[in-house]
Amino acid sequence: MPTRRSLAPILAALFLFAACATTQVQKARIVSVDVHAVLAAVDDAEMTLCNKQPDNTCKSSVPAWTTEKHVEFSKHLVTALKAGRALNEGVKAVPITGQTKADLTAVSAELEAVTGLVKDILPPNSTVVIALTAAKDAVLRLLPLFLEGA
Amino acid sequence: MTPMEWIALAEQGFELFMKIRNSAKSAGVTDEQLDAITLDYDQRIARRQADADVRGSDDH
Repeated sequence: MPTRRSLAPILAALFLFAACATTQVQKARIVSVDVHAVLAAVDDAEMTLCNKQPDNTCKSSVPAWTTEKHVEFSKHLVTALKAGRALNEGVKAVPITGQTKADLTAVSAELEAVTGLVKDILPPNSTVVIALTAAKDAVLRLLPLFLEGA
Repeated sequence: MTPMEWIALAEQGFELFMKIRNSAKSAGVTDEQLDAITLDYDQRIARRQADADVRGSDDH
């Protein structure tokens, strides 16, 4: 029959495991908050740039940023936002699944795709370009943290 | 670029982000806060989906 002394290391290990799991879950949740923030920044910046009119066309201060560009941008951003939402739902579960990790990778891929759309059209000091740069930087920093820690 | 600089770029997401991010470090992110983020995603996806579908509806 196990004594109180022999149970102590097991209990300590269980508490440590529980504490680590909690830390990892919280880390993943903060990653989700950060991903949402950067996607929201990109979303809002492009919407402002589009300057949508009542007839749903863009009237941008950058003439080359046409309604067609906005539509293409929106298609990619829908995918990115859906991946962000799936990630946000995924971090509620324990443990974090491979699908949730894939969602963060999908966000990263879509940010690359929209960066290709704005390339050679928007100036480097454009809010959209700055937001995209910040978003990619954030995701790059978050990816290893999320993949290792969660 | 710092998180403060990222969020300075987002007008609509700013308030929600600040509220959750400030409490995240100390108290952790709750399910309710994640639910608020999901709701914000839903609104953004609906808005973007409408814009993404413009060309598709013109084609038909």
